[in-house]
Amino acid sequence: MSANGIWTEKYRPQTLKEITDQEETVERLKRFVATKSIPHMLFAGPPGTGKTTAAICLAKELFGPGSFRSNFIELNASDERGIETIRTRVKDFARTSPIGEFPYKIICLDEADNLTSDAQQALRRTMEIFSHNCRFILICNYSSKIIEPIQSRCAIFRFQRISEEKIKERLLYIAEKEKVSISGKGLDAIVYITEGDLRRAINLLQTSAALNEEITEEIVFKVAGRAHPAEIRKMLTLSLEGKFKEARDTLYNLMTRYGVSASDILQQVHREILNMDIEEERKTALLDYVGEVDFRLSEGAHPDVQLSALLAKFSLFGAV
Amino acid sequence: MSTLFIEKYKPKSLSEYLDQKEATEKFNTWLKKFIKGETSKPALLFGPSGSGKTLLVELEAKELGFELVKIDPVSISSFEELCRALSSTLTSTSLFGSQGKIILIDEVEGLRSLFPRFISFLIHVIEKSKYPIVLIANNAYALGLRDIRLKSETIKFRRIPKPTILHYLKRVVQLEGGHVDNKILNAIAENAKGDVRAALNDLQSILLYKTQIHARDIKIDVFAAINKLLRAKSFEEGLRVFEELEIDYPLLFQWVAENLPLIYNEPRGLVMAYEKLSKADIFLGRIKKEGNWSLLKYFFDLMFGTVAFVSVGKRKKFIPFKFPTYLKKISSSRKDRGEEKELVAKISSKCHVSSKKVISEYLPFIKLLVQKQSKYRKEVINYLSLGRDEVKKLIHLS
Repeated sequence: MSANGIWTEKYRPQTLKEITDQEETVERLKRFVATKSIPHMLFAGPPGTGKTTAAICLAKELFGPGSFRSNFIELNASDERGIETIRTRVKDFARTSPIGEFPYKIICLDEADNLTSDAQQALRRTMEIFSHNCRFILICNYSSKIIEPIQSRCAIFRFQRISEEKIKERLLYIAEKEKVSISGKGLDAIVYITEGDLRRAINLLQTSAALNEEITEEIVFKVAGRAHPAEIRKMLTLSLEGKFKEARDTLYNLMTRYGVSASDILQQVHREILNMDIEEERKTALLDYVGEVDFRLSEGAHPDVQLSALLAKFSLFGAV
Repeated sequence: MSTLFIEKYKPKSLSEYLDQKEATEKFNTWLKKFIKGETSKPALLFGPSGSGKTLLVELEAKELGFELVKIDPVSISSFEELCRALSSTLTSTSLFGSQGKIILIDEVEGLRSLFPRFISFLIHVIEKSKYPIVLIANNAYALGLRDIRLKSETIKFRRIPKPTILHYLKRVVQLEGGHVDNKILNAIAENAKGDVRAALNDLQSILLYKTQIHARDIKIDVFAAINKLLRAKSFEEGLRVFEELEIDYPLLFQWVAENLPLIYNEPRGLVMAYEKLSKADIFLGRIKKEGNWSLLKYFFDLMFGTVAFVSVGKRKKFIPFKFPTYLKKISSSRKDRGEEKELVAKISSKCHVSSKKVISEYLPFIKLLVQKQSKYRKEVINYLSLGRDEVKKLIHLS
């Protein structure tokens, strides 16, 4: 393992079989490697589940460490300015024939679902033009956002959200290698915040470890810039009891002192309300308004005002 | 007759320019120094409305035969456009083959409230400019102008003295061939409080419509102003109170928001008021995103409507308002995201993630990793091959 400052890179799997919790998908990929023939592929799944890693590992296993670099290129649809740039870069890359015995070069296009459908049409043509010596791996979160003509030309691989146990297992493995200690609650906090995104989980683990000897629940929430669920619950209770000013003070505190973003707070509020022990009907009414405020957050200019409006509204719910 | 006096009687040359001697001298000294290469600072002209800030720059440019490139909130619709306009004019040679040019950035406060990244962008580009840059603001000490003020040559404009205004008004009356009673002229000059533009506008309305002039009382006291806003009986009155204020509307908005719970002691009123304010904010958001200034009127309507017309559970007595705490808290922590492109690209390629992800997920995380107390500081800096400046930039990210 290389000496390497960023843990997500240091512990990024180097071979397909090391990838966490995607047995079925990995099994299929390995079969393709064995036959030395691959189609265009579409990797779909939530963030931090190993899609990019799988593409890199696949390429390494196909080309071998020597010629991997010259036969594999990573592009990112949300970075490259428009389909024209992608096309030019693909053209430049595809101009020379692949080095080694494998007859194709591999182009990995990340966040392909960020392309508009017009751009995807253009991409589809590009894929066809260069199919004599290139294979595409398209990566996306939602395969439904990829136009059908592309889907039908690709073998689709779905990456599952990684289970809590597997995430914990991986985090503990890294913690042990790095000789950092982490409490059970600290581990739970990382899992709670990162919701099955292993990349974020490892990043959070490293940041928490960087500044503290032992990783505890408090440290994780603080480092993540996330509110402790208890703080959110306190804010909600205060506002439902009609104590608007106190509720708003809690809100301001979360936003300014802990730097929690308005949309993160709202997301947590949503989660807390779902878990609240109140009548379903009232719950629906509260959630309805949370949705409205979420929309207003994206439209408005002052998130503090929008969230305060939410707290004011809730104080009315409590009063009735 | 449709020409406005302020256009018609605008001084054509420096010799007609009114009574701003100190500022004029300071400006000339700065400009000479800049041209000789002895300074690279921009000039920051500040002072009340109608004291001749923009005019001085226009006249100087004319006198020297320089091209004048003007940038202000009215002519710019997006931050990208602003950046493009500025960057290209800073380096390109003059279009009209004139000797040089002056770049005039008017209403800096307005540009800043429209585009939060404007100031940091400005600080970044001014150093590259081959041409003198003049910034104009009403209040150089306004929230958020500190950084740019410290990097500029500040030139203060004072209110034009009443006798000067009076003298000027008399000449205009003479040129118009009309007659206005001295008492009235005196009242106009008095009333203008150092604002020549206001005085001319008042004079024109008197000559044309024989109307009465309204008192222009300038209030700097926000407390009194908000209390006044609260008691406004009509939109018109609300708007007038606002116009008389020397604070800009985003600030007023913050004040209103902060103090709503003090204004209403009944939850229903509070909810209704917040509902209106929330909608006002949506308009503000749309204005910012799309640069559609025609929407501003709805923002005002809703903001005044909030405080003036939601009457359920409103307190009757004078309220000792509080400074917006939220504003206070973030004004000290807000920083820019302007010039990190290279850094972002570097991290993006090393960590196999898009720039978008770098910004949302990696920057905050790496910022913590490169801090002095961090165990992994050295490794991370080496791995990402970060320069000293980049580390600094990271640490100071908000």
